[in-house]
Amino acid sequence: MPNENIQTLIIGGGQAGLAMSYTLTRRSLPHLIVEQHRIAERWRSERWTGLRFQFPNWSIRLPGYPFEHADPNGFTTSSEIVDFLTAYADVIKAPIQCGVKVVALRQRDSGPGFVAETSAGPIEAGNVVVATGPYQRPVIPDLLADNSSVFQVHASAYKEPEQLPAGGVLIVGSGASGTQIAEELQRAGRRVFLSVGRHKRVPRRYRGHDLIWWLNELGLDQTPAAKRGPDKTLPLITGAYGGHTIDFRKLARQGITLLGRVTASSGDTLDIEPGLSATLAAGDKTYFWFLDMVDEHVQRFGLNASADPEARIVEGEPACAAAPVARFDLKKQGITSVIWATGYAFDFGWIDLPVLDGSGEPKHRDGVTDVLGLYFLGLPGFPE
Amino acid sequence: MNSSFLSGVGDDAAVLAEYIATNGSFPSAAALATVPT
Repeated sequence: MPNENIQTLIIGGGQAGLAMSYTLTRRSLPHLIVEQHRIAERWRSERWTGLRFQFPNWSIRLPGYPFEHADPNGFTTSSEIVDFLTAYADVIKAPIQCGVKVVALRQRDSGPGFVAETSAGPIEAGNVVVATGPYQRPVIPDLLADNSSVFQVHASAYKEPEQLPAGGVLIVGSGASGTQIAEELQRAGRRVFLSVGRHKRVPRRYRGHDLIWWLNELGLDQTPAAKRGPDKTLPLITGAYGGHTIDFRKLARQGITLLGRVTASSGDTLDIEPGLSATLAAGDKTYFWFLDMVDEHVQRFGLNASADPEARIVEGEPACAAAPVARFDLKKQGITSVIWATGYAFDFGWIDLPVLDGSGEPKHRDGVTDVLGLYFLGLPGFPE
Repeated sequence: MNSSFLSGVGDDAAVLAEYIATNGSFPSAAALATVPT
């Protein structure tokens, strides 16, 4: 690639980068997308086979391009999302160059604008939109770094139950991935232990409608990022294969053993934080806050949405929460695999501009940074 | 119904496009070099 010189450079060829391209094209603003791998790469290579999209088919749409489906209330597969994004890039004629990795981004030496050093040479740009997504660097605690007796894999590299050696599985982390993978493995007949940390959960459906329908009805999906509050914990919105609410007590009744948060290790033994019951109760707060908000909305506007008293039934406390273990011996429990569903960290070290805070997180308001012409798009947020 | 996880990113993109259109469309250094001084 020659020393290109363009008005706006978009870094990342996923849904955010493509949506950005669409909006710029509509304004006849010239731009280029560079993607280090392929369009929608993380959907291709960092999702497990059985994953279903967390949002119902009817709600999936990119700007100017709806998702075609046969079942509006179904939950589509990762591969269909890849097809959707790839087709979108074709339809909007996105100017994208794949296989081009940005290794550094800095201010231009003289005058405004930026220089992106890439694997294919430098690109100069007046504006840069960083759309590399929130899932950049898988985080694996070093608790079992020296333990070679168990198979260890991050959730981003988990594919299917058959990938794991026979035996029990410990899943560390109770976000969307950890919880769904736990459910999948339990259904596959595995003995599953799930380490549950701080979380928020919401109902998949309530009073006859999907969560996403209610988010729209309540106007919560229009909350700007700047007003979403400091807590960026994403709520758990669906169980494995889509379509049902996450309830840890119910998972325990189905055979998954819940543990508290893992805090330390010694050989094959893990230290478990006490207070699992309180952790589950805290996770319920968002759930009941949401039910209350919907009920109030239904009453205020006289919506025709049948009452749903079953949604308020709380399962009994499972034994594993009432009398939680303080220490967990991997060998004694027959654990042969550990899945680290411990999230991701940002990896913006390649940005040589004063836009990152002490933890490496971008400082921005609705995607706009203090560096004129530099923007971020596609970072997570959720209304409180 | 205009709610969607994916279209949400489109809404955010539209905000940034507005910024780019009105605030941040710098001419390139090469273009600046052609301006007589």
